Amino acid sequence: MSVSTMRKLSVFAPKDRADALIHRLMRLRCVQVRQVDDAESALARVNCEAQRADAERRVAAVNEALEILAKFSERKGFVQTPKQLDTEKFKAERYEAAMQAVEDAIATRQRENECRAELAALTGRLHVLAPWLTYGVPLALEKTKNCELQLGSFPAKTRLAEITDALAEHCAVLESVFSDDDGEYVSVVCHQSDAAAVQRVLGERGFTKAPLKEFSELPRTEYEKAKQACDALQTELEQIKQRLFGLARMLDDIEMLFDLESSELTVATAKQKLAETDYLVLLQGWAPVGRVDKIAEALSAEECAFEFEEPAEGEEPPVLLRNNKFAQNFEWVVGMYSYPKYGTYDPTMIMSIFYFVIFGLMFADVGYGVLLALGGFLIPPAIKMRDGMRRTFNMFGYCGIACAVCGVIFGGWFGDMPYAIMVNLLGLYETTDAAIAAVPFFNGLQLSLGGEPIMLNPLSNPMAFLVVSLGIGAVHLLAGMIVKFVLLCKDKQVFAAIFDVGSWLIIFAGIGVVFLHKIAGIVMVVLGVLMIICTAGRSAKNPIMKFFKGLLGLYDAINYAADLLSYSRILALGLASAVIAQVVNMVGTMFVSGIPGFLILLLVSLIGHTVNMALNVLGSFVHTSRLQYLEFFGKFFEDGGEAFVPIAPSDRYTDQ
Amino acid sequence: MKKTILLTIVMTAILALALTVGAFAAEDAAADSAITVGATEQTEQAPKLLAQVFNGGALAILGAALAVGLAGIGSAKGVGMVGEATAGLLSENPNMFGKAFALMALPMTQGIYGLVIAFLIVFKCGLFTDGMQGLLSLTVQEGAYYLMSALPIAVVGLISALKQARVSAAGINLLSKRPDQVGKAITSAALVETYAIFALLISVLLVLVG
Repeated sequence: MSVSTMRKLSVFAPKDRADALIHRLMRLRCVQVRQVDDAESALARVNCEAQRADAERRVAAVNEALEILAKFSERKGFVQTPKQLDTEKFKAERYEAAMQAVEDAIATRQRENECRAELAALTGRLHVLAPWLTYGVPLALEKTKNCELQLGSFPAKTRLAEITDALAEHCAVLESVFSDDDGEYVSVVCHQSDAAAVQRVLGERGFTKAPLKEFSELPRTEYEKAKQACDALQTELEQIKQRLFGLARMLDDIEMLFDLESSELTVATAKQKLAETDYLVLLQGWAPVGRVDKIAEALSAEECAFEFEEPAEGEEPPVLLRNNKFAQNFEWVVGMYSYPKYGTYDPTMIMSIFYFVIFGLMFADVGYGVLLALGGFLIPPAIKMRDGMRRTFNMFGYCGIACAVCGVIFGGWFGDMPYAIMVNLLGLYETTDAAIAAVPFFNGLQLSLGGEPIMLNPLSNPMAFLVVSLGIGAVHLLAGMIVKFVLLCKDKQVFAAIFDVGSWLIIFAGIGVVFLHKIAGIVMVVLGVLMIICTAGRSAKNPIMKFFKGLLGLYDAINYAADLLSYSRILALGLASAVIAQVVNMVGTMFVSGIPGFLILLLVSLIGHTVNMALNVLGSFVHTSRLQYLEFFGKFFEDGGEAFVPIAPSDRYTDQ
Repeated sequence: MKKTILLTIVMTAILALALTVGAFAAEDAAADSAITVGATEQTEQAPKLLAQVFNGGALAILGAALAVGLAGIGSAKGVGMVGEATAGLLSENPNMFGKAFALMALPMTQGIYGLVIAFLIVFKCGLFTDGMQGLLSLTVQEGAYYLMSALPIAVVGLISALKQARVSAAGINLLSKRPDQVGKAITSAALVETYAIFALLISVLLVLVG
């Protein structure tokens, strides 16, 4: 219902108790540590950059280990539920082992990378040696006393006979060693005095020297050596894999370690915001007024002096919203726009009601609504979801209820599925119209206004739904204006309230009254218009300017009209979801009737209705939010508050 | 880019007009030939052939095709643009996909709105209930009416999807620097969609009421 009142907390503690103090506050989860104001305190800032960097390094290491081991985890289940972490016990019993596992994992990964690099190099050597396996001379032998020996290759399909003849002129001998698709591998022997000429002959025919410089023994021996090294590496890689699998069994502990170290990092980061004297540290922070007693109790157990103050003039305390069980699920929607300024009105409650109704209208369908509600309420407890996510899910759960209710009123059961089944699968009726006439329930309620029955189904009667949409819009806008009116009155700006907001309220009320009593309505509208002309220019000094500014005040009418028309999107989105659903049903029922027809319908529905639902939940969410942000908040909201973020233990994997 | 859009719209308008005029001419000619029974065979053949192509059913189908086609082009291009920006974001921070996804899906809706109108037109033509017979029984007037009804979402859907994609892509950039501001990025992008929704609304009302 409101923005929580905040108290400024100041604590003096002995220097060596600083960490313990922050830990204690962190477990309370209701203090936001703030930077001690240098100018105000004239104290030096605590410098614990080394401690913070150290904590950061450890968090990074644990995180790296988690990433390495994630692939080797044998844990079952898609979602891990949070584990219980008893910090003291964990530190005493399992901390060392977990940290050791982290270091092992990182070292093992490093060794694995080295092995892979070596393996790649060895594979290259094997590839180079492969053609020379039958060559029977040690590779170190490149020269005898008189002769020169070289190994190399010609491009594939070179005719060696011709080269042999050419070389014979220089008394050189060419011998083929191996040949494959890549080339002809040969050895060439010649007298040292002919070497240059032979080289020329070979060069002309595309001879490439074999890259065998690093080898000295027989090719076969070298090959065997490399092969053995390869096998050894393969075995080691396999062992590494096994070791990582083994380490992955420690994953639970390592995750606990992550939260532990993250919390340490939080403490170190918070500590940097403190100020210090020679013996003491000063901690300042914000706490909601409702938690002051609890904090005082916790702090009196610590060796420290503390006090709570009201926020001073000009200070901007962080904003914590406080709402009832229903509305608190919608707080994050407000947060997505902006938190209200500290000390101003929290619109969550009134917004949540309109959010509920408008979302329901935009996505009016019993089938989708029930699914949404089931998902929103059943998934969070099933996987022990955290509060923040749980609220998001619950919000959609509530919206699902609204969709289901609106679905009964406006006739949506996975679109027109009941009629599609009756007409196409069961063959009870000839056409959909006949089915609707016989069983009108699934087509939504019928109003009878002055004897005329009015169908509410948006496809049968879009105009009726448009009127409903704009009607809700008018109520929404009026609610925004009334909030503004009340806020101005509370702020003792009664004139502004009556002249700027009240006059418009009179005009809108007058427009409503016209339908009941023509003359009274017109009188009210004229009265409102006159009020605006007379008062909208009251800030101007020049009487002529006063008049023109007054006339200009009427221009707001265009804004209000545009705001109202914006609500026609409720109809457009409602129709879009209904038509797509209808198409899915038609495709599902058009092929065969009877039992096989039901199977096909089920199959088509699984895909079609899921896609339609996903798209429309996103669309309805975005556009309902937009109507709140622009049309509703625009009337009164003072944004710019900063969210209250208390220091708390890390809870990515555990509950502490 | 702008030229392509402009060209597409101008071509659409010309095509629609030409077809409508053609259809009316074909109908008139058919009516004329029906009155002048004694005409030669050649003049009787020509209007019949024309009337087979330029009739109410073809105009209505053209409307459906334009609605789903043009709005679909816009969405395809738009989602592509945001997808590219998202890939850039993901290369630095793969965990952001969930947040980026909403922005990617936003320019998708125009294509769906086009699809909705196309289906409504096809429903109204009776293609699903009466098959080709329903389509052929449409008068040129009715067909032209459906064609015109489809134009708002076809044209506005195309342009708003492209413009929305630009805002969404900018939102992805915002996301890479300030992940907490995803709400504002989505809201800004959703503003552009307003006009596609208005176009959809008018198209739906025209088709349903007509």
